[in-house]
Amino acid sequence: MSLHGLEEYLPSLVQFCLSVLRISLPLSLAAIAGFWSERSGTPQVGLEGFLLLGALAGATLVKLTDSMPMGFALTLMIGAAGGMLFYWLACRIAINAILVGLIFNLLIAGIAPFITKLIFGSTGSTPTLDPALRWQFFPYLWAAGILIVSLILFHRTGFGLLVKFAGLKPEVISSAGFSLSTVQMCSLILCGVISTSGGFILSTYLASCYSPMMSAGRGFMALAALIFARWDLPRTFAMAIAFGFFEAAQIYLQSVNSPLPSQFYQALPYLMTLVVLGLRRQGLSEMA
Amino acid sequence: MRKSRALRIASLVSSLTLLAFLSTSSRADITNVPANLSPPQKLRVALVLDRGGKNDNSFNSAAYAGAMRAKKELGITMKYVESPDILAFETLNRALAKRNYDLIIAIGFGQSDAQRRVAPQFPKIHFAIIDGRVDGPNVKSILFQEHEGSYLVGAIAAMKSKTHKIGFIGGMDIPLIRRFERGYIAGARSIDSKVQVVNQYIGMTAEAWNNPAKAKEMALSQYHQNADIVFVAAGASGTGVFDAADETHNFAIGVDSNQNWMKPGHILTSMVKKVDVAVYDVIREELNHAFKPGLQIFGLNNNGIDYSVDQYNQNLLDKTDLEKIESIKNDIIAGRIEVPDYYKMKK
Repeated sequence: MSLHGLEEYLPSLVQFCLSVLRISLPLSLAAIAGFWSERSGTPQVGLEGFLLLGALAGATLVKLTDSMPMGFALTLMIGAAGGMLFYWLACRIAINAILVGLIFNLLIAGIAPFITKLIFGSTGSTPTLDPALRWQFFPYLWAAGILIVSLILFHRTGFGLLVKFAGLKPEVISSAGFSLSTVQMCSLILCGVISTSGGFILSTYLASCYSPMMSAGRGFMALAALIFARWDLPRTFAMAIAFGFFEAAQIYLQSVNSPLPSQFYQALPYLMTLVVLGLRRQGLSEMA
Repeated sequence: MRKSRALRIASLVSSLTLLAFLSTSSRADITNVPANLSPPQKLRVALVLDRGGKNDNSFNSAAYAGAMRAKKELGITMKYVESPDILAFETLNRALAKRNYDLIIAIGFGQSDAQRRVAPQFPKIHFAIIDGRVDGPNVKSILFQEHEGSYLVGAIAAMKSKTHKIGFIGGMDIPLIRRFERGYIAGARSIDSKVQVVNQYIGMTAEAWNNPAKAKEMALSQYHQNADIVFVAAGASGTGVFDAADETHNFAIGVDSNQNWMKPGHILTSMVKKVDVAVYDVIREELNHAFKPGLQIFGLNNNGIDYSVDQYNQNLLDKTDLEKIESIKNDIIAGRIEVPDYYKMKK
């Protein structure tokens, strides 16, 4: 391609990159959340439920309080409570964590219509938010901040070291005089807070209302990204961006005339998820 | 000891989950009061809404509005239920039939199978289904000529487009939505033979009706490719397209209900399916003992399909535009324009 041709494509290239970033926001946050949970030894299949919880809480609380920061803070608290609940079920009373994750997903999907019915009188979508409230840059800063804080916390602090051992050799923790359950609890609370913030961004930034099941498989894609990146934080983040890229490519390719049927492009991101999960099957048992 | 406690709690949580899922539907089963104890004074009508719920500002909202109008004007007893997922359709229809409602109206093509199974078991109860076709001596199927209205808004889009490029975003990729798409493209081509139409579908599962984030992303990609008007037929996902139109200062076209008010100044018009009229009419027929089973078709000719002009978009369409649109509308009604129908096309 000549330089002249490149110039012509530049604006749409910029738009495409922005689209990739937008789509990756909830994915990368959910993937980082999954990272904290899985590295501390709790397999996390409940990311879908956490995302949905964040989306529901976000759209509802912002509508009720009429303030973005207020709604965000309350949503994070609900996320922390969700993480606590997960900890209590999976670690405290020791139900199989995969089971807890699945139940958690069902629980949120089942309770959401109840809550919207109670508050807004409908089991469907919540009312749309005022566009004036909408954040412009904060979601990107938040995601970048979460990535940096997570990197520092995991690689540079004693807490990170404890989390690492909780996942690899949990018996070391108690023999060193620390409490395994505290480490797991903190990790799961982190997981809950980070993943619900992804849901919050989904319903208030990428959309302007909550809609039933709007997480649409993003939680599982995040899990696939985590597994494909072999539980390494920078690679997980890169994989989430890669999935965002496929989704954006799918949207873009569908809109240009092409010989392949649209169904093929629609299936692309999910196909990638399946391939990744299939390729790395042995990796699953290795870590979680 | 520890294990059994864990199991108990696990089962408690899962049964709570189930309860949350089913609570709206199961209530009807528990209180199965025989109706002949106290013959009801008023006509009893039940409305089973599709997954979008009564606040989807689109298809279901229209059905709900029609039923509410009937309740107010005709003095009937009206109960509406919203289905949390497609598996509940049959249960809801059956539970309401068991409670001896006189007329049960199901909204959405997804309930066809449910009514096909339930209606024969309750021959004395009348059923109506919107957007689906169910044959039976006690079922009325109401269909809309979506392609006619889509043709009309396609023509409007081509008239108002400055870039000669317009877009279409469908929800779930099903024949019903393809019907919108084909009509829209044909209408646009009739005005501007060189107009480019970008068409996209959100997904292949029912999640597509509830994915505003993806709908918005699609609309942004279309607007950035220079399409300046996008027609969206995607249920509750439509709000995402309206947000994108607002942010990029372009136009969108709404669907099913009159959605012009949702982003005033950015919604060119709405392709209105008068589901409210259909629901109201079938209730009135039932009240007058004039219920007719079989197929009823709403199109441009009987005002079942239309485009909307109100205070929110009257500045966007001027007098010459409206005259032109009206003449196309009359041509379709008179049969001078033949609108391609996806259902009748060779695939």
